Amino acid sequence: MNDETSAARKRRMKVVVDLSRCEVFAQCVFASPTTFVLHGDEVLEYDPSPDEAAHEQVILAARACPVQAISIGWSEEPEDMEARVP
Amino acid sequence: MTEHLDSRTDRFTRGRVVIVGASLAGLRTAEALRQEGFTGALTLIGDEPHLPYDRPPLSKQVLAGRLPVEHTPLARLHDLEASWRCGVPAVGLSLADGHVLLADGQHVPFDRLIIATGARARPWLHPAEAALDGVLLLRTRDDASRLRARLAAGSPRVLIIGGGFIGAEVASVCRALDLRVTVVERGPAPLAGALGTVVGSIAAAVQRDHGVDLRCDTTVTTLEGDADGRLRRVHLSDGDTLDVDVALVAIGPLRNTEWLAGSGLAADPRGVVCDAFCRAIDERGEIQERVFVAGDVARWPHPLYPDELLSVEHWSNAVAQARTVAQNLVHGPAAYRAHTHLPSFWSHQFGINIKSAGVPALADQVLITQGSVDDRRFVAAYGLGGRLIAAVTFNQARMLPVYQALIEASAPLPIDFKASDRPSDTRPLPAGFPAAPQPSPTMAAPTRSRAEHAATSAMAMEHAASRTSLTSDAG
Repeated sequence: MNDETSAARKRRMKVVVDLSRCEVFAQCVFASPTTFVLHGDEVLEYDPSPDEAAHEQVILAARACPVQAISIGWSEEPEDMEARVP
Repeated sequence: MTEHLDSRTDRFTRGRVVIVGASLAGLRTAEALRQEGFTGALTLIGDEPHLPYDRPPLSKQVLAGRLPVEHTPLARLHDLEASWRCGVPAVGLSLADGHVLLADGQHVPFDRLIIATGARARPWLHPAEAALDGVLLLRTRDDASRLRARLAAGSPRVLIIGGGFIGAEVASVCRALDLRVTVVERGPAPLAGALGTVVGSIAAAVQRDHGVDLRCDTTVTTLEGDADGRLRRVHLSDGDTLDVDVALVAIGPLRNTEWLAGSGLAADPRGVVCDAFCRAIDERGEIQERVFVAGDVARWPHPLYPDELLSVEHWSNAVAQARTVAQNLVHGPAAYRAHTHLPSFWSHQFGINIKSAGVPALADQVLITQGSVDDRRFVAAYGLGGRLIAAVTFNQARMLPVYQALIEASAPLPIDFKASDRPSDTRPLPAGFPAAPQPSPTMAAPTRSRAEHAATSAMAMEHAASRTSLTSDAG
């Protein structure tokens, strides 16, 4: 990857849970309760754009997931996309 | 990935790849291409003016007001170094000239093409009624914003046309918001097109327990507007008339294939036919080596369901098929891998996590193997010809992987399974799929086209051939 990539751009943490893989052990809810919430016994909801204050917890949540269903990535700002349209 | 290096050639890692469709399948294919070592030029074309976003939350926490729609753009998991053409739909394809035609008249040339244009919500059949203020669809984030605004304003009376998963999830949100909601389902039970009437009737009981006015075996005859073109009233086939403010049309998907008309590819409203390696097949039944298909728009042969072409609207399939396509495109025929992902999905509704593995809609039998229907916590096993082909769990997510393995092994049904939570009655029942199903995950054409025949007849051989490359599968 060369310098055209978003490394130089502002990146925000994004998180994505594979809810087909998720077995609702809810370890993420304990690790990062502001990002991962249970609505019902087995209904996991999460904020894909966690606040910066929660980032460390989200990383712990991803590590704690027994089925490794949580991926951490980053956002690309909309202006980046528009800048790339020739 | 170093083991791939020897088999990799410039021919497959370079050139111009164009991906048409910039949602989950398109984005994940682009990421996987880079991850697999594609170094050529990459272009993504999308008809929406947004960055790729996640759709499942739209009918759930976004609609409920728990998640701002601005938070739904998908996590980027790999650097792309791609050109984006967002907000301009593709309107044509020339395989001979190797270009995609955009709505603004531009030609986008390619050496290899990935079709990931997905599906859209099927609109209400009567255009004048569909145009009434208050009649809405739900597929895109703009749709979700519009519906959210309606649900949050005052206390609207809501009609949902169609008792499939979108309809049920929206009904669930409406009840959580304490809104009056009527679901009109033309079949005998909600979710019956996907899960059959046995499990569908459990879903019906759940809806009624939560205060949904559920009307099965019922259709909408007329949506009536007032003088200002605002939705006022609905007339139902059961003779009833209801005053409503909002009507959600949730009657299934249409695959986005119109742009492929005249391209020669085997494409119709059911999807684009491809082979087990996800290579597109044309109308003559010939494989197009330079064109791959991924996500909701694909109709592909699966070794567990040999007489069908599967086409699903599942998040996990979009992700898995993206990997298959990228693997095959970057590493070439010597390393081709068949797309053997077992279909799976989830739905959150009325506080219940419904999960499914396999293809329930193909089953002739169903039985409750674990848990309690009364507690809304159970496993339903689906069989065809005495073999397990699918399983559905209600609030039993942890049990599903066991069944996934049994489905992949074509285990006999009834299962010889000494589960401690086995119910007293485990007799199989007819699965209860309507004779004329709602838009279902599979489409078995009464007469097979050349392309469909080519896709399924080549499958067994190609699947066998693909087994040699499975050892390099890193998951």
